[in-house]
Amino acid sequence: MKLKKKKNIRLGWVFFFVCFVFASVLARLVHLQIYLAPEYRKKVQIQAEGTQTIQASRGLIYDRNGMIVANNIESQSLSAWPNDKQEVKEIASFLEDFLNLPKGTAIKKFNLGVHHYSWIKRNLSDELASEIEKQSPKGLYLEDGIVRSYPFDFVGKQIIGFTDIDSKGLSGFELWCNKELAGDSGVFAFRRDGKRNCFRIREQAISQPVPGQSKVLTIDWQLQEILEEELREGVIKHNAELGMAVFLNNRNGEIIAMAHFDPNEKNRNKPQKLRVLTDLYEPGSVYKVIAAAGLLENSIMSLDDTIYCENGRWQMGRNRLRDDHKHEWLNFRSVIELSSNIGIGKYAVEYGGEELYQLSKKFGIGTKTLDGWPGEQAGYISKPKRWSDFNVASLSIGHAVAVNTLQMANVMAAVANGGTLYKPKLILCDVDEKGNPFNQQRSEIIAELMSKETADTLKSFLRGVVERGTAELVNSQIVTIAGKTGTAQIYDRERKRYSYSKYMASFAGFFPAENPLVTGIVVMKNPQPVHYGGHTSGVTFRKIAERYTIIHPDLFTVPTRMIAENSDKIKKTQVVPNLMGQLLASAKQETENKMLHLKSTADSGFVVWQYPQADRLIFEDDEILVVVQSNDEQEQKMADLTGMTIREASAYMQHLNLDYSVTGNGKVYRQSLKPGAIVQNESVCKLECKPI
Amino acid sequence: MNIKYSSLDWKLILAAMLLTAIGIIMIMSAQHNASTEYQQHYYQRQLMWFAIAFFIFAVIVHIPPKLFDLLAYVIYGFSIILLILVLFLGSAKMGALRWFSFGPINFAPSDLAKVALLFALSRFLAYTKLPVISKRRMALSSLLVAVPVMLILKQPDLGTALVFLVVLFVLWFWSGLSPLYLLLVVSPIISLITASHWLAWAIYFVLLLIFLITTRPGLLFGIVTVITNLAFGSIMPFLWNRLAEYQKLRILTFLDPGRDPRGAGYQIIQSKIAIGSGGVFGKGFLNGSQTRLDFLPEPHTDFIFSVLGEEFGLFGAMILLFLFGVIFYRAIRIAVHCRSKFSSMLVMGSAGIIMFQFVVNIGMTLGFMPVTGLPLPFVSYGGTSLVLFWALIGFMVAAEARWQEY
Repeated sequence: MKLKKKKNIRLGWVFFFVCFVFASVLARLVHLQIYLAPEYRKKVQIQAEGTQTIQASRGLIYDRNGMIVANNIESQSLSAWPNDKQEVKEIASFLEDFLNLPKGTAIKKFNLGVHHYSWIKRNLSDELASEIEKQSPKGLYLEDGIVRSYPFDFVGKQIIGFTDIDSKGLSGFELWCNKELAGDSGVFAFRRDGKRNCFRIREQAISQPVPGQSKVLTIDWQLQEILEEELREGVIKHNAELGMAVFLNNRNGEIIAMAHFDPNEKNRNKPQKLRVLTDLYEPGSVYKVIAAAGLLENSIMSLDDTIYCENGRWQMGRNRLRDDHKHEWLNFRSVIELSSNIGIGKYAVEYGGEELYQLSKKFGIGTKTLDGWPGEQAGYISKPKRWSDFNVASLSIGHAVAVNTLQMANVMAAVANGGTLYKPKLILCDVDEKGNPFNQQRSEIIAELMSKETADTLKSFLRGVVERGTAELVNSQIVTIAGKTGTAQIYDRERKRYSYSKYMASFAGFFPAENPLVTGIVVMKNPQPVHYGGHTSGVTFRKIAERYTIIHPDLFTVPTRMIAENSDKIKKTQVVPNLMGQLLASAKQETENKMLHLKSTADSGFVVWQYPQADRLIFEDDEILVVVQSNDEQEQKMADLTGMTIREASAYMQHLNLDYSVTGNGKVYRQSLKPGAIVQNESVCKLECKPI
Repeated sequence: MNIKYSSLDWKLILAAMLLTAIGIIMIMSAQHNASTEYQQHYYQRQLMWFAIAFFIFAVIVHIPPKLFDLLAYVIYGFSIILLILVLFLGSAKMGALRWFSFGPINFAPSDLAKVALLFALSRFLAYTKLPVISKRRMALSSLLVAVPVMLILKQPDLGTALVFLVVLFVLWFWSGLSPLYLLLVVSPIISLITASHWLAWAIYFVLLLIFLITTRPGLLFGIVTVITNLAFGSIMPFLWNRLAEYQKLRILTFLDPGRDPRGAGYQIIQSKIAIGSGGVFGKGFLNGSQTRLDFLPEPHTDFIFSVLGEEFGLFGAMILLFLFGVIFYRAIRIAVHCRSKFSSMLVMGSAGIIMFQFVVNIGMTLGFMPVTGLPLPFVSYGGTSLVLFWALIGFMVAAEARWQEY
């Protein structure tokens, strides 16, 4: 009995133990599989499922003639993802050999590690990539990618801006329009396993990428290049600290070209501001056109009235207004042409400060021009509590007001076109995948500022400024220019007064004066030693205007090529081959292969010059002009220019570094230096043109 | 020699068969998209092993347990020799000398040693005239265990060595040692574990003293217990340094799986994720993402229960628990039922081995216990292990068939 009882107690212990084990296992299972199940399901998702974005191809950017100015090109990038220590070693030694690095530096330099992803080099050239592909060790990967490329290098780069390495806009137009250019990236889902391998679980992406919208700018890249060249030359010649210029089509507000040049800006290969929009300056006398428009429109004076200009010094209480040259009695035309501060100031006082302030606002001063452009400054007019005579006079001559360059150009454009203020426009239209333009941007009128009569009167004054006033150096033989100079003292922040040695020299004008098409402004900061706007900026303005006229005799009177022609041309652009040094025959062959035409100055010899230069984009069926010369000739001989356009001929003249003049328009039919004549440096060639 | 088929414990056999079947199905799932065809066909090999195991089971059923009783020490001696040999001739896997390799077949002598120890201990404890709490009885039976344990620790294989200790404790208990004493014998091990932190050890020690004072197991016993506890507690840091790096890691990881989620704690975390995400009804056969996507380590051996838990959920896990429950219930019934003391010991010891591996393996997959590498009986992939467990079932069935024999 006792034994039996003991055995029963033992059995009890056993059952207790077994039940305890089962109960705890069961409890744990319930805990894990019911209570914690949602949490663990989430963990499974997190560790085993993922999504990857598919980059959308970025929209292209064209200039107004359909040339691609921002392109996407495929490139390969090298990355490392070693699986074990052996692979790390192999990769390191391969890279050290391949990239000529000192031994033992690669691991640190590229941060190599087992199961660690690191970029080695991005945007490899094709040859390098294929070489790596042939001999690279395990764990190195070549990845296809797309990078942004800019066929015109730095020309217009301030406008286009930059993208980062992942094709995201960083500055300029690329940033301004980033959302549209970028498109929408797609998504595909994948599963990942415990060994970090990835599988796509669906063949199709969850959402397909939507390619970015291609855009056509109003900028003409040829004119942009001219503007940049001339601005640079002007800034360097006049020792200025900064030059800014904007040219626009005054009939609709389309910006044709704009740029700044800062001689101290060494690294152009990084994002920079578009300073014609982001930098403010005091416009000085150019601003007088606003006051003049207000005075004329409101008939404050009759054109025959004269006003006493105080012999160059007008004391107004504690303040004093000066003129650069002493004048006594001037009529209003002379006040503008000779830029008398006292004259316009006196009239402005009559007109009234509040009125002048409101008129300035109507002209767009203090309002942003391109909505949302990164860093654009709207400018401002200081409005005193009570308008004193001096305040009014100051404002009328462009002091106590800050503008950006584009605003000032637009003010002049409104005068040029007869009184309509357009909203400056940078985007011409969008382009679909087939190259058809759509969504053309209308020109937006902001305000009608003056009657046509007022504008005509003012324009004749401005023509007078160039013909006999402060801007005589701007007068051109090629194109009639009208405009207004400005020479404003720069405010010296340290001394808290206007500087007597530093000036903002500007010239704003339009051409052709009789029937203005293009309005522009050139501003130079602190040119030395000559600081007058008419002598510095004005000259640059003239040079730009002349070259524009030569290139585009029909300047913008026809719609742009992009819109006018059935734009399938956009697809058929060709890269200009490098023909320099080639025999004419082989050059001919190469151009024909590219569906281009060749026009040469002689029948045989070597190509010594070509237009356009290599690597530019042109359309099929376009012509490349080459100058050929036989081998034994030492001297440059004049080519036969008959039948060339003014644009081609002037490019050739620049190549020869010859002075030249053009009369008429159309194509060359006569040249003063006969074909075959030896070209000397001091010779001048007169070209006569007529429409053919 | 002849036995009636009706006298066989068919419920026990059926439960073991179902567990083996579940095992084969889970192995199939675990290796479904393994990288090599060889691995994908693990389940076929397991099926083949089952045939071998069942054959051995059938043979054992026909052998009267008396024969094992007679040969117990011979078999024990033979297995000790094998354990020595494997240290010299065995093939190394993952830093441990555990196997003899015969072509594709690996034979672990420690599995045979489990059976041999079972025989020897059963025989010793069944026939010894020494009183239950005599020091000599304890010392001699401990010696029987100590020899193979030392050899196995040399391999090293901590998990299997623990199985041997479990057999000793189970048979001590079943031969009449009060569970109270058993607890006191086990207490130095608890002391060893708690000594990793001085505060934990201090609390444990106070509790132990209170326990001794209230239960009054005898002055000498009490003093010995206290001294051994003190000793084990103080050699803990020394022992700790003797452990292999991976063993230290396992224990640390068990205490805190999150300390290195990409490394040592990875297995436990992934196992818990697998089981937890299975929910009540599981993700379905071949649909376990943890298994499919290689997050679960060793899904066909150590972590096969996690595969079951993921694909068949709480429901599937409960079926498995039920089948194990049937095995333990039948085993205990037989142990109580049969008249031969040796057979009773043999059956209880067998059940103890199964129980221990069951607890340790499932405890590991659930995050209760450290990773030891002990397979789940009947279910995990592994030939010798399957043969061993079917042999244990064989002893049970054979004992039941001849329950009336002394």
